[in-house]
Amino acid sequence: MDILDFTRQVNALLYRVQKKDKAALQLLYELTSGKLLGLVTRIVRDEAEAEDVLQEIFIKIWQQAVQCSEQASAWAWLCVMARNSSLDRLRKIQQHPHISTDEDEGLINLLIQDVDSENNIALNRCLYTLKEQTRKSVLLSYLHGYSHNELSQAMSVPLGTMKAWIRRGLQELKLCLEA
Amino acid sequence: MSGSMRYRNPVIYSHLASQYVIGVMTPRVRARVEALRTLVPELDTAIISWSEDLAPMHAHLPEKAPLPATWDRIDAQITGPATKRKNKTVWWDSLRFWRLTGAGATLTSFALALMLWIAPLQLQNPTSLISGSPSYVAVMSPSMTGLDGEKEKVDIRFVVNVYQKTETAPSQLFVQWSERQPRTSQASMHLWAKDIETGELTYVGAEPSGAEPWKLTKAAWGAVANSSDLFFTADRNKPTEQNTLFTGPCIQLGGWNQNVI
Repeated sequence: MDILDFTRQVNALLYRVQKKDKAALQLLYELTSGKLLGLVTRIVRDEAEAEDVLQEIFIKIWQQAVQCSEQASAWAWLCVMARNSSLDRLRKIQQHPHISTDEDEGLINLLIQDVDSENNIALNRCLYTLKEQTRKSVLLSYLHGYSHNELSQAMSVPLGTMKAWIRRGLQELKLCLEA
Repeated sequence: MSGSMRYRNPVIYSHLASQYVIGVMTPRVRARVEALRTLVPELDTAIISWSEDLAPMHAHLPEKAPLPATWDRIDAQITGPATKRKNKTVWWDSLRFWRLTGAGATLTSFALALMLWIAPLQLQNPTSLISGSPSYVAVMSPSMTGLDGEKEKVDIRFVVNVYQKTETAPSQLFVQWSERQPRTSQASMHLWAKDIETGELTYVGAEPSGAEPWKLTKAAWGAVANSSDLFFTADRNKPTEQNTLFTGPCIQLGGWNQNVI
């Protein structure tokens, strides 16, 4: 299933969930839970905590589906909710493993394997226009939920430098995507 | 430039949106941005735009199959009475605990906060050495024990009012008991505050005896000000199911004319 079909299905199912269609919630779970659990696990790292967060996310989806703006795609809304829930849980358990910057190279390679989606090509082309340190900082922050402090310590740069890398990286990414 | 106008600056709202979506904000700042986006359409649009730009990444990264029991638990929660979950975390982190304690207590605390604004607080030992209205309020209920089979009912026993220091007096904390259920035990209780961001528990102090006002040190004030919940225990030890007497959410009171932003 390509990304466009996927997002269309998620949109359609969330619309039904907004009408309190429980069967639609289950279908949405079957369609997205694997990807969302992957997202959550990359941040939380603990499998048991990740399952707990996934459960919380779908309860929130059931309760708050009407809050998804008509302007936004349902998948984007789910991702933001999943990331926020994961970050909250991460802070609660207050643990973060040693940062491995090798892993993001593997993730970048995975991102460029699928060349069918126009969106994906654009995003990855733009990621590669960033300087290596900037790209690593942005991805470690976004995919793994590392804070500015954690990244500045792991990459041995001042906090201000790390914040500037991420800020500049996001600005460049945005300009590239809009081009 | 007024508060909300500042956030209509494209540079500012674009920056806020990117920081929000990438997830580097603290929970408190994130909550403010979530409130702000309902008032500033440009910010809301920017957040949606950033979310759309980055979300495709997750659709292509490795998936992880959830355990079969996870859907069963979700199904049970949305279709019937809450089933007992295996509590892998400390008891006060149980979702069920806060659903029961927080829902009714939070609504009641807002009602009480409204009453405090309308009617001046009457103190047993009124003093001009406190500011006009409390900065923080907490509504306290008996700690729930034995979740199995117990009738779950919110039971408000007293309210905690916390006043910021004035020019002539330190920060102070007052406990006001319900008229319908007056205090039965005069033993001093110990107060703990749970940090809103980290969840850590900080000891605030022991209830002073007699008519002594409960003065707060700077550190104690900070612990209460940054708390999401307060716990009263029977002894100096950290809150547990056994020693916790009362718990409740702690909220910061704003002025009637204060802007959200």
